[in-house]
Amino acid sequence: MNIDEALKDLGETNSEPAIDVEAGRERLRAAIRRLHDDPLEEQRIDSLAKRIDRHERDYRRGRQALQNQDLPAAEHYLRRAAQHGNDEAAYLLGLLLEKLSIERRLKGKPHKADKYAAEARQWRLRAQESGFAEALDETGASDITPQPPSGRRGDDPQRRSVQDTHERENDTDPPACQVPSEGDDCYVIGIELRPYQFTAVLTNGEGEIVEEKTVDLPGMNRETVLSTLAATAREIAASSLGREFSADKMALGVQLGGPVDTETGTVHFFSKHPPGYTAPSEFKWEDFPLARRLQHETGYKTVLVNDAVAFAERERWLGVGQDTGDFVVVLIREGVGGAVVKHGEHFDGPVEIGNFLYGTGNFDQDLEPGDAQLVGVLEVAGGTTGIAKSAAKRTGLAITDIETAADAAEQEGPGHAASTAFLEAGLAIRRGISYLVQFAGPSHVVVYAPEAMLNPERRAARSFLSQVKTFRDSVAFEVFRQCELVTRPLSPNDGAHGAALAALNRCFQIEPRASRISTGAMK
Amino acid sequence: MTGDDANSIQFDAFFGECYPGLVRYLQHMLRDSSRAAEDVAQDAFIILWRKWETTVRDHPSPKAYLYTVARHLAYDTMEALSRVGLKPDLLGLVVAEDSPSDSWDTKMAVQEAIKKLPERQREAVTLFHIHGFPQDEIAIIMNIARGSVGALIHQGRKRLTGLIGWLPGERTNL
Repeated sequence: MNIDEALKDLGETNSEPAIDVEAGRERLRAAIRRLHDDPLEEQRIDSLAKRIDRHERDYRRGRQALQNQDLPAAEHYLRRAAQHGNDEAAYLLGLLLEKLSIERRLKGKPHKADKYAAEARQWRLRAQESGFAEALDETGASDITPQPPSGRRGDDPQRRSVQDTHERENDTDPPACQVPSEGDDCYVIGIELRPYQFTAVLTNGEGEIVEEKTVDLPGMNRETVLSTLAATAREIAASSLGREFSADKMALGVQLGGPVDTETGTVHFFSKHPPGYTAPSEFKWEDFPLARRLQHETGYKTVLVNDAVAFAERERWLGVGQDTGDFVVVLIREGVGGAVVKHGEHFDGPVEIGNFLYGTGNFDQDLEPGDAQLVGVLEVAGGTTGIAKSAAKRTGLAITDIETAADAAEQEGPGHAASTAFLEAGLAIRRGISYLVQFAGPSHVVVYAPEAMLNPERRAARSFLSQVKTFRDSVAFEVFRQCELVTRPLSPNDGAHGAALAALNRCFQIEPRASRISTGAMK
Repeated sequence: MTGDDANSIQFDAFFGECYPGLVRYLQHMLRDSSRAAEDVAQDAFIILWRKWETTVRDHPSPKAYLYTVARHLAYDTMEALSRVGLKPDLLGLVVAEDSPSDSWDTKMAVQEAIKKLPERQREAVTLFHIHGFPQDEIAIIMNIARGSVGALIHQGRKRLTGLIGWLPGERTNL
């Protein structure tokens, strides 16, 4: 008996235990009934189906882009497909990155060349382990191997298959911005818009900060803010890159602390307490098409994201996203925000964790409204405005911001009571984290907060963290408790940097490269 | 499945035809975890049921589409199991045992040898030889190029020959 006969025999006479078809049928019937009765189950199944369609599309697009010599798009889609277990995509991506590495080295960019080469090795190893590399190396894969660029990418219509055209027509993804010919030829400006102030950073195509600037705003009238943002973006581009720099190779990423619609670039609601300011906010933006207006004013493609999403994007590029595709971010500033990344992609929905109901009637803050004027919500106890208010009430001192609250907590006199405000904030954030963990099942939870709340040398931080670190106790199932807590003290340009990285990804389809910030993980 | 309409009857027949093979395929993917394989198979059938009228019924190969869906779900499951430490290997080099099976039983020997193939070669060989899919449908299921399927099967058979020690046949349709 030769190998073919043996395999044929094996296929025809399966010696494995019989599968109980009737039991399976009964289970399926029950599941279909549940599907009809339970909207959440229906949603779960539809969500799975959509995700599968997307994964299938990623590989086809990556391959098509490779054939069209659209290398940035090929890199983007093949990486996504490879990350979801497509080993042929891993094989092709390894070849593509090797080619890009050689190109960078020839251009005298050894650092970038090394980064490409390192990533290429990872994918190559994966292709070897799966048996792909062995099979394709031996038989040759000339039809799918990256070829030297020949003319402008995608110019040859014969290279576009009917299937690809069909996919583009039925594409439900947001319209992609123009992909530049070389990923590192483009630049982006990231802007973090806060009450009465914004920070802007210019980054190159690698996501490295080239320039940064913080500008105070005299008021929050949205037209005035819009003009100032546009003027600053133009000025940064002109001063750093020259006035002749092509607008096609520039994009803007803007983030702010409120609900936004990234698809349409609309700010749904923005009305924050400025730091150190405890009276109700004196401005309110509702349904303002900020991204479209900025794009019109500057000529740069513009993407708008929620602030926590921008911080999650930063994590995807520089933080825990290097190790996992499943993490959540909790952002603590005047309010409290959240973001979820699942399978390497941002959850496409509001994660308004600061507005989750939290109040128990035990604390004074339960009667205070949050930024959206809801009473008894989590950010009233967990946000810095709420902490400062609570500390002021408890101590009788003139405390208006998180720094003075933390300083008061260091005192042995009446100020000591301020530490209770941090303890209560820790309780609230602990609750919020447990909600997110049970919702998303992440491997990591990343908390961004002011240094005063995270530096264990400060009493305020110790009080706060003593509660936050026990979030696993509020998680019902053991399986979801297996996640790491990572803390990151806020630094001035983190948010703007996150917005820039979001623009790189969404406008130029550039994916994170391997680089890292210290994880600061704590058990 | 809820009434006597033609769709339900068609789907029921489709289920009966495909379920055992699909569960076996998933058991191999999920390292013989029967329960997980049944769960994944169930979700795959439900997804097909949702799309039966609009997409699947007129698909060139509903069975290949079913396996495609199940394969993605199985990958998600492997990822989840790996993350919680229940299964050590996500990306899947199957580690060879110290020595080939001593069993004289031919089928057992072949089964043992298949388990030692690298993951994608094993998958392609299994889909082709055990499940009987043509190569163009395997390309759909694995979401890879048709040529790559041939290469994987060819290489898999070559390795099997080395592992078992028989000469390969003269089959030319690979």
